[in-house]
Formats: sequence, structure tokens, C-alpha cells
Amino acid sequence: MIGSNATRSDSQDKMAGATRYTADVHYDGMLHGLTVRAPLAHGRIRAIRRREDLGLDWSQVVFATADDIPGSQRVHMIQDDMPFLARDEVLYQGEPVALVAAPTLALAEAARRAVAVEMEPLEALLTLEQMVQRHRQGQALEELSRWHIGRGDVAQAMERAEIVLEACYTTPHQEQAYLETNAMIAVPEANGCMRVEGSLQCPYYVAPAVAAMLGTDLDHLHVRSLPMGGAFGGKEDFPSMLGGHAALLSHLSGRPVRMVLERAEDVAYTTKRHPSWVRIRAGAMRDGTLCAVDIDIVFDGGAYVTMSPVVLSRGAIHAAGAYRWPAVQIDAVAYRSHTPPNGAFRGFGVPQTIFAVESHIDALARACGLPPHEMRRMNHLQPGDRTATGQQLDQTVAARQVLDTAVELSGFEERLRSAGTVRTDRRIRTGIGLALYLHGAGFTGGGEAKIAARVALDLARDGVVHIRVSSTEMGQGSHTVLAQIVAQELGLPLDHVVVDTPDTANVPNSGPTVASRTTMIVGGELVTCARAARQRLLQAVRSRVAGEPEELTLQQGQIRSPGGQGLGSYTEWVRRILSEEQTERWVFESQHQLSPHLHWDEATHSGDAYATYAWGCTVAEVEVDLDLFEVRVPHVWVAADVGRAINPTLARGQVEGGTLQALGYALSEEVGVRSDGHLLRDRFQTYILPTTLDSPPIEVALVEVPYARGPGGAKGLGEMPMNGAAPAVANAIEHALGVRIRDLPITPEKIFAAIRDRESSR
Amino acid sequence: MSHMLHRNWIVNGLSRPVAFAADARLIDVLRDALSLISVKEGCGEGECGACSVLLDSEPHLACLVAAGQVDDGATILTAEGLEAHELGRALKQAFDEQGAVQCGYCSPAMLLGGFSLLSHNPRPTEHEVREALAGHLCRCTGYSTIIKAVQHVAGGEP
Amino acid sequence: MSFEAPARLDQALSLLAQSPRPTILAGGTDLWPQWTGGAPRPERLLSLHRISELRRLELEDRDATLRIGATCTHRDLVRSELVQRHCPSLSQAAATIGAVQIQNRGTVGGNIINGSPAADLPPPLLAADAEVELASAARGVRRLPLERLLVSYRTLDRAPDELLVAVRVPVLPPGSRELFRKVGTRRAQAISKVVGACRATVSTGAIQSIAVAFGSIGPISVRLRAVETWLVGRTLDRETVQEAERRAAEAVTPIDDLRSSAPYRRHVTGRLLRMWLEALARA
Repeated sequence: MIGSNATRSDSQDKMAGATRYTADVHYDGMLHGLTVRAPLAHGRIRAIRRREDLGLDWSQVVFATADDIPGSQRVHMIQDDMPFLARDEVLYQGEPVALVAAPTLALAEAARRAVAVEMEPLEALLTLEQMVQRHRQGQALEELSRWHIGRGDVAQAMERAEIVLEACYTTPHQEQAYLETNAMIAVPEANGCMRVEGSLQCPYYVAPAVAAMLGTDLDHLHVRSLPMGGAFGGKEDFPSMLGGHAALLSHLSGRPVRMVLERAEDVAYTTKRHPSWVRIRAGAMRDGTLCAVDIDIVFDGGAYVTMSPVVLSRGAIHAAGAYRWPAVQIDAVAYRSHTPPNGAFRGFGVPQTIFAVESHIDALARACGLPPHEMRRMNHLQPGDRTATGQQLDQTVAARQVLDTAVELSGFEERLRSAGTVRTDRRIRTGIGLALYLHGAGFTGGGEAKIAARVALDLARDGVVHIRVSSTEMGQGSHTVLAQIVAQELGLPLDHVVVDTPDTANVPNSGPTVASRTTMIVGGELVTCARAARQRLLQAVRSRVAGEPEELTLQQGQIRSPGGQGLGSYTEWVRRILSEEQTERWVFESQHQLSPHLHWDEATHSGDAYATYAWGCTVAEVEVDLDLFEVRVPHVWVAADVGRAINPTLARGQVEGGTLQALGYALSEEVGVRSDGHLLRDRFQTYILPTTLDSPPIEVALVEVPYARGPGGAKGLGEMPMNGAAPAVANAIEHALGVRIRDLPITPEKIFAAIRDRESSR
Repeated sequence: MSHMLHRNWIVNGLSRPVAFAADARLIDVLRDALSLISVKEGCGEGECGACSVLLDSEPHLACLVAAGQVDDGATILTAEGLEAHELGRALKQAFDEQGAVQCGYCSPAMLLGGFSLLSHNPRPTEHEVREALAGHLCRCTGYSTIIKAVQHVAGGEP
Repeated sequence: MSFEAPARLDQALSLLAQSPRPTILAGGTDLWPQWTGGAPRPERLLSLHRISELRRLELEDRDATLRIGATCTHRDLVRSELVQRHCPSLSQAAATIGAVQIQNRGTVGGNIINGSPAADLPPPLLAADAEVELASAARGVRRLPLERLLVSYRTLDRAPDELLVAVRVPVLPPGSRELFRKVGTRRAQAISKVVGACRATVSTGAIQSIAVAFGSIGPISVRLRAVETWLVGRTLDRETVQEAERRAAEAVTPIDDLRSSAPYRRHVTGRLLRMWLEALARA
């Protein structure tokens, strides 16, 4: 089971159109809900008026403002600072101020148009550029989060350095661009209860937030996830607000209410990857040995805190990259801007800081006269080394393995020599670049201890084994992988195991489906449950078999004696035993505990940041057209350390998909901010995602350096592929052209400008 | 107030009478009147391809087709209708085996794109496969497994 | 909203003369995103899809002119042997629009009438000195050069009761060549940053005639007539080609927008002309 390419259980239904995503779900009497949004980026609300002069029949429309909220005004998150509906002050253009719902979408749209929001403008801070300018000049900014990481004496170490390079790197908003937009439904149930369901990654984030808003509890409000058309972090925190909106409308009307965001609305107003500015000053010896690094990070948090403290934290922790630095100083801050709050997107702060450090290391390599892969070989972290936070790494470090694998797979050394030359048939210059990176698996520091993930495994009388966890299936294959893990541990065929729909009424809180933790942590706890279940079952069988033989085996659903004699199937035995015990199910539970040897101090951001890290190395080949400066990526290779691939096909799928998202980040994706605070490229016509003709063959080598506590040795995998392609491409372009672009995306316009600047300065 | 239009289409092999408002799009009629929910609205602006259907054997974006422009006797194939075709079944199996379905939102339309390509061009090159599917965005897979699945069915797998 | 789909052109023209005037719907690829995005929907829709004569594609004037009906789709242009032979750059341009699904639906008439400065079909049509045929119930048929139809930003010389019925394209003369390039934000489903076409005759290394047209570099697609005039009669040596590049870059008036920058667009315009001239010189 573990290591097998089992096909997903949900793919047939998805392909046949039988799967019901949120927009496909209807209930009798269901109303369509829409959000009324603030017109200005920053200001005070004077009035919210329902216009009577447009001939709209308001009696058919449910209308809600902040005044209608029974309980908590603010959405429960890390800090409870974001209102469900703005009341006095608006902090971003498009901020929700009111809600409407009506029996038809057309009427709801008319009602939305008929609400006038009058505002008095205040000064707005809109761009990263403005923010960084103020930051560098020490001018006032509103801080959302700040972290400092330090080890060793940077000033002293920098003195010793023979080569010191400093540069700044910037990245824009990136949109998750799941094919299915954010969507939620609230349904009244009997006895004053309510159900909230929809496209959401974390039922146990949404439930307490919505319950607090309604002034109720989780006995009266439950949340379940429906099939999702992608998420990538974009449905981690946003659904708490949207779910609250649907629930409020449902509460007021007594009817089911569905809210489905339009694409332009989703791109313009939901969470994005934080724009970043990273200044790195790094020192090395002439032979390439790294001495010291001093990193200054600014993230644009948008209007509210949401996930900024943890995104910033993770970005800062990874900012020194995959390297051994004798002295490190990292200062990271997230400031408020009057734009939609930024949030989670695969990688969670790390794509930004790794873009910076992997570009910078490449520049240092050039300054030292070392080939890029040799620079990495000389300095990468090894077992026993300490990271920037002082964590001493164990045997699960796979830096060397992924580096060597990627270098060999891509023929890197040969391409390094032959690339950079102009092909004479067309004016094309080729280049090759690599990036080495890591990604901490699971929540940072004490996070997993705080979550204390709980899982449950039920052996039902009918022979079906139920996995009850709050981990959601958003396309990544989590439900298939978890079923494989349990099937393996129990010795059953895969079709005996199902994953129950994550519904807070039915499943324990295994934590959110984020942070590359599901296989490793939730899967790990399910192994514990499955072992206990297997033991109890076999013991029960033993006691019912003549002679009570010692070592019974359970394989492929068949129980056998030590001699190999068949004693019956799992299903027969479970039916019999549970009937005799007059019970419908045996329930096995487990709760995750942080390994006692891990110590993390959040205030000083020092110690063991993660239980383990996944490692990766991406090599990208580029072709740059010397006339039009268009970049083509003919080939990408990725060596990905996953600890253990539970399902290699699904694991590769994560690496391939994440790599293409990172290529989009590298070359074409940026949202931008208009002068009125509305996000600029707010639709698929203008936000440029790669098509089949823009995507290269992506060759993936899975490397397995196991993590003992992960099921079968598995580490977290989902986010790591996001970190490598952008710096690999930037490095390849530098190799091809001799210009380094430090601002994503690397567009032909920027390459043209850089080359023109270089030519005019000669 | 829109007046109602009436048509009779052959949808997934069956004759289906439909009635709709003058400003209905094909996607609205297929999803709402005929419950063919495989036709997804991913963007409403003709960029993502998730609403692709085969209209008289050619791929069209249902969010850009005025239902009134689809005349009586038009044939429409959606993903629900692929099971009835050997090529459709082969494509679904290949998608499954290659891991070409992750979140599944692009999959129904993507399958139709592959179906249309292979119906007209049984042995496409990789570039031809990419071209045929260039109007289908996928955010999950990176496209590799999808391309491989189509090539596998064509028998021209590298 | 009402929806009408006449089978004959004269019926369509009568409807178009009525009040309230219906909105013409061809492929719908430009109009539907606007309406779905919240733009006000018209009271009356007039669909052209049943008018078979608007989809004819044939040679006229003793094979000197290719007459392309306004509802010919981009796919029709891509597949048509007549277009491939007599105006190959038009076929190439149509193949760069959207992807398969959009090409099956979008029309040559719609691409012109939508009036976008970034439309992909006007440059090859302008380089071929194409004419448009407009018809109205009141005044019959009017022909004018496409160049005169495009007046200013999204403004066309088309009366509200006029329907674009055909585009008339002078066929590629023997000994002439066409070149086309679209530079977009990605390799499919892309709006142009710069789009251009060239139709030229070269003899003994010198330009005999040349027409060069670009789009996405100003409020309307334009012929670079001053550059063309300068080029006629010149030998395609290195100095000429470089000077032509410089002049072409100066001749256009692009802006910075969310797709590209003015300096880049100028550079691409000039460089494309240079690449075409180099290709013509090699041939």
C-alpha cells in the first residue's frame, strides 16, 4: 500500500461530472447571497443606504450590516482584528460592509447595486514600494508583526569576509487561482442548529469563527467541507469570513443561503501571497565559504493581521536558506497597507525569502568564481549543523542528496559549459540555473503542540474502516494517501478504508490542512490508531480460536495462523466480534504530541523550528530571445526529498503542480495595485497563468531520506516545490545574459530595460 | 423581462427540449435546465476553459455562447456523455492511471478537449496535444500528467 | 431582452434600422464577458448566426480579391486554403487568437467591430490594403478601406444602422511575401502587447513595395506609411535595416499599461520590422 500508485477514489466521479462542488449544490428555498463592498481603500463610513429610487422590491431581499451580527463582530483568527462587516472604518477597497440575499441571483445582483456606501476618504498606503521607502527612512508605518532571529556576531564575521555583496529582491502579490472560486453555504437545521459547508481547507477554523459570530457553540453549529476545486492556501482563512457571511444571512432569513464569489471578485478581494522586499548583505571568503548574513525582510500584510505573523515567521526562519552560516541576523516585519489582507499560499513566506537567498548565493558564487553547484556543495547544511535558529539538524537532512540528484538528472555541468552560447539559427541564448531549498514540515515551533491534532479510526461492524480526521481533500490526494497508510498498517485492501467527510459534528480536530502536515502528522497519528486497532482485533480473534495461537497475521484482508492457515476474512471476523460485543464500531483515537526533544522559543525565534525538513533542488533551463527578450523554459528538473512517497504518482503530481505555479511566479504572475487601491490584474484575462504551451516538461526524481515519526518515513511535501523554480529561473537568465533581475516576475520588459541600462552605461 | 426561446438539442445522445430566456448562455441552460453540472463556470469570461463543451463536434466555451444561437438539432457533448464512447472511456481510464485528476475542476472539459483532438487527429504530436488543450487552464497538475494521458490513449506515448 | 436570428441579410438590416436598435451578436466572445462582468445588457439582441451568406469565403474580381464574410470564424481563416494562399498572414493571425474554443466562435467581423487597439486581425488586413463592406437598409452597400474605418480609440466610421458584412482582401501578388508576428503575454489565450504584419515585394535585394501595419501600439492599428515610403527602392543592407528599425520604433505611440511598457513596445515594433526585412533579404 505504501509506495503504491493507487488510483484516487474520487477521480471517476470528478471526471463524470457527478461530484458536487459548492456551486453545484442546491437546497429548497435557497437564497443567493452577495457582498456589498466599500468603494474606497481607506476611510470612514458615513452611511450605508438602501436606495428606494431604483424600483427594487426590498421585501424580497435579506439585508445585513454589522448591526445585525448577534455575537462577535470580528473573525476569530490569530488576532481577532478583522470585522465580518466594516462598521466605522474601512481599511481596503472592497472590504465587506453589507450583505444581501435574494431568491434569484439576478435580484441579489440588483440589490447589491442598489446599496450606496458613502465614505469620507482617509490617506491610504497602497504599495510595497511606498512601504519600503518609509521603512528604509524610518518613517511611521503600522506594524502587524515582527520577528528577529540572530546567531553569532554578524558584524565581526562580516569583517573577516573577503567578499561582501548586498542586494534587494522584491516579489509581488501572487493569486492562488484555484479553478473553483471561494464558495460557502449556510443551512438552518432542526432545533436552532446550523450547518455551514463549502470550499474550505479547515473546518475547525471556520466553526469557532462562525459560532462566535452567531453567539452560539459547536454543539449548535457544525462545519463540513465539500469537494474542492483547488485551494493552495487561498481557502485557509478566507472561508471563516465568507462562512460567517452566509451564516448571518441564513440566521436572519431562516433559509439556506449560498455565496459563490465571481472570479473578478475572488481575485480582487480574497487573500494573496504577501508581496515582499528582502535586503540581503552576505559575506564569504574568496574560496566560497560563507561567513555571515544580515537579512532585512518587509512583507506587505494588507489591511488586517490574518496570517501575517506566521507567514512572516516561516519566511524569516527560511531566509538564510539551505546553508551553514557562522553568523546570522534576520529582521522581519509585516506592515499594514490599505489593500485586501494577504494570507496563505503554498510556501507561506518561503518562496519570497528563498527567491532572495538563492539568487544571492548564486551572485556570491559568481563573485567567488565558483560554479553554482560547487558553491552549494561547499556550504549546504549537513546532519549535525545548526540552522539560523540554532536548531541542530539530524539525519533527515537531504541537501546533498537532492543537489547531487538534480545535478546529475539535468546534466547540469555539461549544460553549464555549453549553455550561454548563442544558437546561430535563431538569436537565442540559453542558460542553466539551479536552486537548493528546504521547507519545514508541520507547524512552526510549538504549533503542533498547540494544535495537539486528534484523529479517530473506526472499525465498523460492516467491515468498513472509517478515518475520521479534519483534513480536507482539495485535490492534493490527502484522502487517498491517508487511506493507503491505514490500509497498509491494518493489512487490508484499499477499498475497505474510507475517509469520512470532514464535518466538525463527526470528526475530531486534527488541525488545519496546511503547512505540509497532513501526511506526516495526521497520517502518523493514524498509524498509531491503526496499530492499536490491529492489535485489539487480532487479540479478539486469538481468544476465539482454538489453541489461542500467538502470532496471527492480517494481510490483504485475510487473517492467518502462524502456519499460514486461513482463519477467515477481516470482514467476517469484525462482523462476528462486534455483534457479540453488541457494538456498531470500535473507536481508536490518538493525539499528537510534539517530540519532547524539540524546544522552541517563540519570542527569540530560536531553537527547533520544525520536527523535520523536506529538501529540494530545482534546475531550470531557459532560452532567451535576444530580439524580443521572451523567456522560454524548455526543461525543468526537480529532485524532491519526500522522506517516503506513500503514493509516488500523487507525490510527483504535487511536485509538478507546485513547480509550474512557481514558474508562473517567476515569469508572468503579478496582480499589482491600482492608484485607487483596487488590485490591478483582477481577472484571468489579465492575471497571466501558464497554459499548456507555456509549461515545460518537468522531470521529477523523488528522493527518500526518511523521517522516523512520519508514516513509512514520510515528510511533508505539498509546499516545498513552490520554493525553487523562481530563483532557478532567475539564475538561469543571469547565466544566459549576464543580467540579474531581482524583481519578480521576470518579464521581457524588465530584461529589455536591464540590458538597455547595461548597454547605455558602457 | 426576457421572452422565452425554445429549442430541441441532442445532448449526450438524447433529444432534449429546452426553454430559456433570451439572455441565457449555453452554460446556464446546460447546468440549470439539464443539470449537467460537469460544465463548470471557472471565470465567466472565456479564459479558463472549464465550461468547454463539444457543440456539433467542435469545442466551444459555453459561457460565451448565447443559448439562442444553438439551433434545433445541434449536438452537444458534455463529460457526462463520454462514458458512452469508447474513446471517452479510454481517456478517463488514462487520466485515472496517470494521476491527471487532482481537484477535478478542469477535468471534465479537459477530457472533452482530448476527445475532440483524438477524434480528429488520432496520432497527435506532443505539441499538437498542448495546442489542443491550450484553452484549458489547470492549476493543480502542471499539465504533464494530462498530456501523458492523452498521448497514452493515442498510442504515441514517448 | 429579446433575441432575433433572421436567416437573411436584408431581414437583419431592417431590424438594425428599428428602434430601439438591437445589438449585433456574432460570436459573442467579446460581448459575453462584458455582460457577465456587469455591463448593462441590451434590450434586443440580433444574432447573425443563421445568415449563411455572411459566412461565405470566396475569390472575386477575377481572383484579385478574397472576399471574407463577416461571420467567418477565426477557425475558418486558419483552415481555409484560400486564405492560406492569398493572405497567409491573416491565417497565421487567426491562429494566435485565444485557443481552439475561441477560434471556433470568434469572427473576423467581431474582431474588427469590437474596435480594440489590440485586435489581431487588423494588422494583416491593413498590410493587404483590405476594404470593408458595410450595409444598411437605408443606403445599401458602402465600401471603404479598413484604414478609414478605424478612426480613433474604439471609434469606427460605422453608422449605427450599418452592419459589417464582409472584408475584401487584395490577394497576395506573385513574388510577394507576408510576415506576421504577435507578441503576447503568454503563448495562448493572450492579448497582444504588439501585433504586426508586413506584405512586401523584394527584387534583387531591394524593396519594390512594402506595407507594414501594427496594433497594440497606439489607439488604433496603423500602417507605418512614412517608414514604407522611406523603404521603397532601398537595398536591404545592414544600414537600411537598422534605420528602418529606428524609424518604426519612433513612428508608433504605445503606452504603459497592465500588459507591457511603452519602451518595450517601441523596441518590439522596430525589431519586428528589422527581423522581417532580414528575412526578406535572405529569401
